[in-house]
Amino acid sequence: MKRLDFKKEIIIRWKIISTCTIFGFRESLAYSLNNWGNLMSMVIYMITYLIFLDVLFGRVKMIAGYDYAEMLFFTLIIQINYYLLFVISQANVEKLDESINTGELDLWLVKPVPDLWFVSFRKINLGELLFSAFPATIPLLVILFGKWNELQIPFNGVVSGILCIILGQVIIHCFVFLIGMTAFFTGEGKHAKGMSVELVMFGDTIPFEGFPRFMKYIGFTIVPFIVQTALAVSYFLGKSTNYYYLIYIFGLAVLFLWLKTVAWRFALRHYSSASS
Amino acid sequence: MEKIIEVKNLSKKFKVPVKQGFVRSIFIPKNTEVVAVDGVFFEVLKGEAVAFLGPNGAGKTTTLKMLTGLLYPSEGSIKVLGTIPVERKYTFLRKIALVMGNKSGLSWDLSARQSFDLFESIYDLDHEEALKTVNYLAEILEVTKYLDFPIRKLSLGQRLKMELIGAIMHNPEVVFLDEPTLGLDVVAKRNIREFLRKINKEKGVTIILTSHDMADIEKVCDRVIVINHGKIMFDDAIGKLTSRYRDRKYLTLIFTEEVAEEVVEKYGRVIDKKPLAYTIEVAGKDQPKVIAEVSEKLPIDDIDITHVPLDEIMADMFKRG
Repeated sequence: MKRLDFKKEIIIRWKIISTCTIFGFRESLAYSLNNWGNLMSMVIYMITYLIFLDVLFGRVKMIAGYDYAEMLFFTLIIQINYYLLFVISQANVEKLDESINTGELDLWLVKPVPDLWFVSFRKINLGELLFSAFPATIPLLVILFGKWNELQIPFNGVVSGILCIILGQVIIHCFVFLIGMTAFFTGEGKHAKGMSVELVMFGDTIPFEGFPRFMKYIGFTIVPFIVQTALAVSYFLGKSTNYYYLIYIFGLAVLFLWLKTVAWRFALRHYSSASS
Repeated sequence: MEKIIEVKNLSKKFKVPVKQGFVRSIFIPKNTEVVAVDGVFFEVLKGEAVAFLGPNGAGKTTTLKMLTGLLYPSEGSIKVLGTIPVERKYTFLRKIALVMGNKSGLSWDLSARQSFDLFESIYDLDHEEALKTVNYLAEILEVTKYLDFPIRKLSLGQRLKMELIGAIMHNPEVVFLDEPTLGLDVVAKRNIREFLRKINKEKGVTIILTSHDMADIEKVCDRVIVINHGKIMFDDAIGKLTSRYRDRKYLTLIFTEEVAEEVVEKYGRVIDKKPLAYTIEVAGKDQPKVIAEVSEKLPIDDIDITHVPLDEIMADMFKRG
């Protein structure tokens, strides 16, 4: 019986993700001109960044032990992580804050769905990935493929790097969600969420090897900014071979998931609901 | 009859920040406790249509939110459909619906039909059945041709009707409505009231309604629970509430020419005044005498006799506290 219930729970969760993804995609198509504007701004940003890298590596051969090709690869992982964060976590926390603020959350909390799961994956904007993330990354991919032979990517590094991205996304999702939940108590969490995104993206600016020791401690604990990109790229490129980190970040992901669940239950218990 | 809702000694207290200086409010915040609902008891039977009535801040919506599991009670117990609402069991949530006149659960950018697809998935409804239900409800509420319009292009009334369809397309056993006709025009209000009455009478859906519009309550509900300052002041059939005021009558005097207020005041307390019409309140036993006198002494064109309207009864009750 319990196994059946578990199966049912998994099916419900899968159904929520798939339905909300389709729903979110439809929503993203509602404003086509906005999509084009977004795409253009992302392409312009990417080209500017690539020019910056080109100029930088025209003068120096290495930064924090990373050459031009490795830095391009680092940039690719930044892109992947940024868009995953944007599409899964940021969009949903923003939606949660908005619905707490307007009281719309009331109407969702009375629907027969696993509430925390639902608010976590209520809006997955595939349109953003299709119309903005992928096209904006094309210039980077073109340059990176030209330099691909200069990269050394061991098989172990690929596995560890992918694990780091997944666990890192879980951790930063929980972190941003936890900060976003302050809206339950303050009524508005937009800027707090903005701050949390900046904090977790901090690790996407400097390679793992470039961080001083105390910053690594912080990045692995209270503000988990170092896992999803910095450590992942270090593994991908075979620069880190200490696999104890993986066990540690798995534990950290579990801890953050637990914290998110406990905080959600606490927030619901103290939810005062926007006045009607 | 089966009890659908059982509420015992229910209370809800909120902490509200006390206004202080800017720095003080950040570092030494002070809160005061506000009692929104104060030890209320009531029961609702299956198929009843019950209205919560009360002035702003009386505790109606807070009670409704506790009944739907949105708010945790500070004290007391609630059972709705045999379960504790805040446990939020799927089986419970599948059987209820919540409609809030000023809140929207439909996507602003998509059509109502697209939002209903999402609800169909959430409630795990059979596609054909859901389609039939939506079309049926849309027909009754006269919004069929707007089902494929983006919500942002609809009028308030059309949007609210869509909200109603979305909320009840899974055929709930209990529908909670908070100010469902807020801001609607007369026709839209009538339409929604008739619809609610229909699902209550024909499908046996239990309705719990809060509204400031007395007509909503008179047309939809059989029973009224009057709340003020978080306490129940009255809980019985609407008829019993109005019968308390049956010894008073309202006479609307329509004149053929203007008459001074001082003249009309001699016959009863003036309730309403228009250029050629006055509404006065008289004791029931004096009614024939007053009618005879004004007909004889004043330039009367017509006289309307009514019971004290529910609006006035409520205003009087709240004034007395």
